[in-house]
Amino acid sequence: MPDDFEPLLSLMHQVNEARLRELDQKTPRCPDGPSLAALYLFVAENVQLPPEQVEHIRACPRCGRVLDQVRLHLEAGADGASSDRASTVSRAPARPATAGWFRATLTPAVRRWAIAALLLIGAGVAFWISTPTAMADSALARIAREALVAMQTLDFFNGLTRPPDDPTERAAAEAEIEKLQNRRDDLRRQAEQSPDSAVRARAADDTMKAWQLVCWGLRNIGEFDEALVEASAWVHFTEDCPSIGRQASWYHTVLDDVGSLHAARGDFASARTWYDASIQARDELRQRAALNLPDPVRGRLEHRAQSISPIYWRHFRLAILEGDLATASRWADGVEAILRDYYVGVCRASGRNLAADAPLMQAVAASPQEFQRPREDYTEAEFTAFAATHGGYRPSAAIVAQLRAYWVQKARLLLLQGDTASAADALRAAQAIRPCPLADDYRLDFALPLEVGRLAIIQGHYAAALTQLAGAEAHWGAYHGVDVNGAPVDRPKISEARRAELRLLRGLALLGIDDHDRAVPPLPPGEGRGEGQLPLPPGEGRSEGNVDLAGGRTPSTLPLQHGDGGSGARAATDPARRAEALALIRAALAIPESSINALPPARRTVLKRQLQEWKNLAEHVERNSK
Amino acid sequence: MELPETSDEELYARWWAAAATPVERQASADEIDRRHRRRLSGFCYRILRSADSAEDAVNHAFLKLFEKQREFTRTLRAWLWATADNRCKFLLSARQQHKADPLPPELDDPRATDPHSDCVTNDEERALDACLSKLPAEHRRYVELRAFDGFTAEEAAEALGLSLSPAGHNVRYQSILSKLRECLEKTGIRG
Repeated sequence: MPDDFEPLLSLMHQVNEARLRELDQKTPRCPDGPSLAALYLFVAENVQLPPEQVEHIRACPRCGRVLDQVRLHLEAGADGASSDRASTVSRAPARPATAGWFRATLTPAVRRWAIAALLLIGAGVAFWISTPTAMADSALARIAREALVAMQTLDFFNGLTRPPDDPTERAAAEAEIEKLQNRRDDLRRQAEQSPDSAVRARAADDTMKAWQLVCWGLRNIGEFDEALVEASAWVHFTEDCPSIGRQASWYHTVLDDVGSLHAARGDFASARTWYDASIQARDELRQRAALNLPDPVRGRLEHRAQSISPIYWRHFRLAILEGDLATASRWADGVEAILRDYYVGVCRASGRNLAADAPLMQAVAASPQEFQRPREDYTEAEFTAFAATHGGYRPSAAIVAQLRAYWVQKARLLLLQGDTASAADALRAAQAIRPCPLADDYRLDFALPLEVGRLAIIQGHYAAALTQLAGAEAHWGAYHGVDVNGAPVDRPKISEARRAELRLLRGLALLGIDDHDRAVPPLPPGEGRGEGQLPLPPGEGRSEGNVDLAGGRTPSTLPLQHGDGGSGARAATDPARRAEALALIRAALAIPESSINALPPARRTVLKRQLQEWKNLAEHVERNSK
Repeated sequence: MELPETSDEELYARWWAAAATPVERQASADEIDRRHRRRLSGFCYRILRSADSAEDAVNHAFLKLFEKQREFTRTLRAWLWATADNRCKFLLSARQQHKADPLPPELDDPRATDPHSDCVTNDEERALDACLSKLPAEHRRYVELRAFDGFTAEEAAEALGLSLSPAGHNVRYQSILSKLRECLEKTGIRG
C-alpha cells in the first residue's frame, strides 16, 4: 500500500479504537473469562461441567444473553434437545440433559468411534443387500426412495441449478450476468434520479426484474456466495425504494430468494429466518388487502392458497433435507389447511354448506365446476362476474396447480415415511386434478409421472414404472406457452440432476423386470381415468384411479393412466436389458464434479454416500452380466 | 492461557480434537473468543448502530461456530465475519419490520445520548462517517473490513463473497481510499 494513504488509515484506526473503547463499556462482561467458552462446550457438546463453573456461567451477564439467544432460537422449534441443555444451565446446576442417551452418556471420543463402527456396519449391510445374485426388491425400492432426497440435495432450486462444466458455456453465462448487472445499474439510476414519478416507478419495477435475473444467473452457475451479496443489496434497494418498499409483493419474492441462497450454502437456520420473514411479508400484504390498500406494483392480491403455499414448500424442502420428516409433514399440513380453507370458502360463498374441517378433496368436489377445472384464459370481465356471484372468489388456475402440487409433494413425503399405500392415494388425487400448464411452476407434467414411476418401482410393478417414466421423459424439455394476454410463459428444461434421477429410476425398473417382474395387468379400455378427470362426489361409486372422497382406502396397486407399458412382459434374464439398465445407472452417476463441489460440505458428504451406493449397484450388475 | 503462536484454525481444530479434555477445549474457544469478539462487535455495531444488537449478532456467530464442525474456505475469521454479517442483515430487516414501534434510545447512535462524549464533538470522526456513508455499500464495507478490522484482501473478499484477483483487490482498495480521502479533504480534514 503506498505511503500516501497512511494518514487516512491512521485516522481510521484512531476513530475505530475510540469506538471500540466505548463499546467495551456498553457490552456485558463475564466475571470469569472462560465462562463463555465453557458455555459453548455445554451448549454444543452437552459436556457436563463442574458445579462451580455452572455458577460462573449463571453469574455472567454475557452468558445469560447467550442462553437467552439459545432459548429464543429453540423456542422457534429448531432443536428441543439443546433447549433442555440451555434450561439446565439457567435453572439448575449441570446434569445430563435429555438430549439422548447417546450424547449424554458417551464421551466425544467414544461417540466418534461408535459412529464410525455404526457406519461400517451400515456400509456392510448396504453391500450385502446390493450384492445377491438376484437384485432384491427391497434394495431397488430403497434406492428409488433415497434418490428423491439425493437429487433434492443436488438441486435445491427445484431443477434450476446446473453449474456448467463447459468453459464456453460458463463464459457465456458470466457475460450475460454482466450485461444484466449493467442494465440493472442503468435502470436503478433512472429509478432514483428521474424527475418523472411514473418513469421512476416503471424503472424501479424493471430494476427489480433485472436484479432478480442477476441473482438467478449467479445461482444457476453455482456462485451462491456472490449471488447472496447481490441479493442482500437487492433487499436494501427494495426496502428503500419508495415505489416498491415492503408493501409490494416484490418484497417477499426477494426474501424468498435470499432464503434459498442461504439454503443452497447449507445455512438452513438463516434460510428459515428469511423464509419466516417472507411469510410475514405475505401476511402483511393480505392485511393491506383487507384494508383495501392495493399492492403498489401488481395491483391485485392473491389468496393465501396461491401466495403462501410456495413458501411453505420451501420450508418443506429444508425439513426433508434435514431428514426431519415430522416438520416437513407440518408444513404440508399447513398447505392442506390453506387449500381447504379456500375451497370451503368457495363452497359457502356458492351456497353449498360444508364443515370447516371437511376433507380437502371433498371440499374441492363440492365446489362449482369452474373452481375445480378453471380455464386459463378468463378475461377480467369474467373474473369480475365470478367475484360478484361467489362472494369475491374467482376461479384460479394457479390455485388448482397448487392443489395438484400439494398431492405430489405429499406423496413424496409419504414415500419417505414408508407409507406406500397412502402415497398411492395421494398420487391418484394428483392425477385426478386437471393440469393447468400455464400456472404450473412445479413442472408437474414431469414430476407427477416421475413420482408414479418411483412408487411403481417401490411396489415392484416395474413395467408400469417404465411406462410412467417414459411419460416423464416426454416432458423434460423446456415449456413454452402463451397466456391470455399473449405474453409468453417460458419454463426452462428439467435440470440435469432430475434427469439423472429419471435415468436411475429407469435403470432400476429394467433391473426389476429382468429379475422378477410383477407388473399389474393393463386397465380395461375405458376404466382408467385420464388427467383432467374430476374426483367423483362421495357415494357416486369408484373405479380404480378415482379418488376416494369418502376417505376410504384404495387398493395399494397403482392405477395406470397410460396402460402398463405392454412391453413389460415377463422375461428371463436378458443381457440386453441388463446392459441398458447398467448404461442408465452409469449415466445417472455422471453428475458433473462441479455440481457436487458446489454443495455445502455436509450435503456433499450425504450425496457422495448415496452415489457410492449407486456405484455399488452398477458394479454388481456389471459383475453379474459378464 | 497464552497461545500467541497458534492460528485460529489450529485452535478450532483443538476444540474438535477427539482427545482434547474439556479444559483444553475451553482454552481454545476462549482464545478464539478473546481474539475476535471485540473487533467483531465493532463490525456489527457499525452495521446495527446498537450495542445490544451487536452483542446478539456476535453471540450468534460464535454459537454457530462452535455448535458443529465448520469448514472454512479461507480463514475462521472471514467465516465469523460473514456469519455475523448475515445475522446483522437479518436483525436490520427485523428492526425495519417494527420501525413503527418507539426505538429504545440505544438503537440510535449511543454516543448521541451522551452529551459529554468527546466522540460526538469529534469533527474528524463525523466527517469520516459522512464520507464513508457516501460510498456504495459494498465499497464502504470492503474498506471498513480492511482498515477497521485488519482483514487481508482475501479475507475481505471472502467475507463479502467477492471474487477478484489479488491485483484487482489492491486496485479496488486504493481506488476506494482515494475517493474517501478526496471526500475528507473537501471537508477540510487531511486524510
